[in-house]
Amino acid sequence: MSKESREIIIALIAGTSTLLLLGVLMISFLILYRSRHRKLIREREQLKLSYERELLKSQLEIQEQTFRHISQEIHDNIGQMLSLARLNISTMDPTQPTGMEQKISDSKKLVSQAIYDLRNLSHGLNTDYVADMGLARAIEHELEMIRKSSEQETVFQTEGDVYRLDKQREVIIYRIVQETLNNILKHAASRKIIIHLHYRPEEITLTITDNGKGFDLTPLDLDKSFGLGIKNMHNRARLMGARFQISSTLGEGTSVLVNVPVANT
Amino acid sequence: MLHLPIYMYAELGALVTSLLTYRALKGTAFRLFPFFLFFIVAVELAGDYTGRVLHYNNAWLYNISTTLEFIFYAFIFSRTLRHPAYKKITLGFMAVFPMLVLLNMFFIQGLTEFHSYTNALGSILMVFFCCLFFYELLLNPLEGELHKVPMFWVSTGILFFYLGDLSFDLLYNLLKNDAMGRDLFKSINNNLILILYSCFIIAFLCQRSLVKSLSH
Repeated sequence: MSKESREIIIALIAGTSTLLLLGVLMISFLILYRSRHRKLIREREQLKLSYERELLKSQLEIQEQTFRHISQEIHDNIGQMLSLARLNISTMDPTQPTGMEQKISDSKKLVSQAIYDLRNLSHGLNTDYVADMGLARAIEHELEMIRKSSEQETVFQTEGDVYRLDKQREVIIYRIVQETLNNILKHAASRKIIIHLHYRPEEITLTITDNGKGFDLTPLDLDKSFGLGIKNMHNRARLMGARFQISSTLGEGTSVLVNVPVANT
Repeated sequence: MLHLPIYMYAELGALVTSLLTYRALKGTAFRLFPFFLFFIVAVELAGDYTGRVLHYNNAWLYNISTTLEFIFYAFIFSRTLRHPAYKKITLGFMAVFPMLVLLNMFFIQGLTEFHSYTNALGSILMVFFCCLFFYELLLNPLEGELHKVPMFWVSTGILFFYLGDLSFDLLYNLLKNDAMGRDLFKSINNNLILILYSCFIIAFLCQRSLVKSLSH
């Protein structure tokens, strides 16, 4: 084989191999890129589904909590007032006018208070109130309920210009607040609850603090349902792109911090 | 008995598959494939007979057939590509390319010579059309799984065939006087033909399962 012929053959082999290799690289890139892209899209869809599922769950839990609260309110408060009014009326003796005027006046006050409380409760029956009144107002309302039904001192503070997030995220944040307050009432044995909402242009920071007994954050020490509740809150925060942090000191209290970015994730 | 080179079986296989799956190809860009493949098989048989048996110069036959191949593939791309500008490029190619081949055959390389210059240009443009198609596939990741997209197989076959063919076109002036180089190219080319028509067969089968899955 002449030198020239050998060179031609080498050039042909090298040229063809290089070009074919280029083709293989192109196809491989296409396959890899598309499979990654499709995976990403599937994951995003999955996340969206989880988000919607969690949102629905949150809404149902808010509803449940609202009904539980209403039933408690009717039993403990309105029921008591009406029973007392009935007692007043049944002990009235028309033959003895002394004291009757006082009893009528007391009964009137009790019935009026019961009517006022019932009216308040009927507002609460609208389980979509988070969407209607907004997050800040809904949290304030929740704290009012707690103040009325327990011996807790509650403080609600906002900082910055209050603005609305989208309905879905407000519902989820509100549910985190409800869950945290439930935990405080059940386990913390605290006297004071402070909720602080800091509105910044890029994020909202929610802080819930109590001065209760605190707890050890090691998972082994957590009550099973309590641990699950925290995990739930953590998961919900993650789904809306928020940061959830919990810190607790034994004997001093617990603090829950949620950073919610304003930009939709 | 007629002894056919192995790549011709691939061409025949593609023709038979296109006929068997014709119902699925109807109404798609692939509907002309059976006619095209019939033409290709006829050209290969005629080329083999005139060249190997009769020892005639059959360059004119391959000049015509390769030009029609380019036009046919450009037609397929014009029907498959989505972007109007890309479609226009393929249609422009279909209009201009035959004229360039004629110019080349009559005024540059001659009628008895393989039109390697225009063939190289056509090959580069075919690779370019494949790239355009792949680019559109990248932009539409939800368009089914890649291995089930018929045009992906057609483009893959075309891409490898013309990428492999390109070095022959570029080295043609040297290779035409070098018997060993020509033989080497022939064996490379035969394998590329095998890949090309195997890809077509897969594409037709994909098209049939696609139509089946849509009709269920």
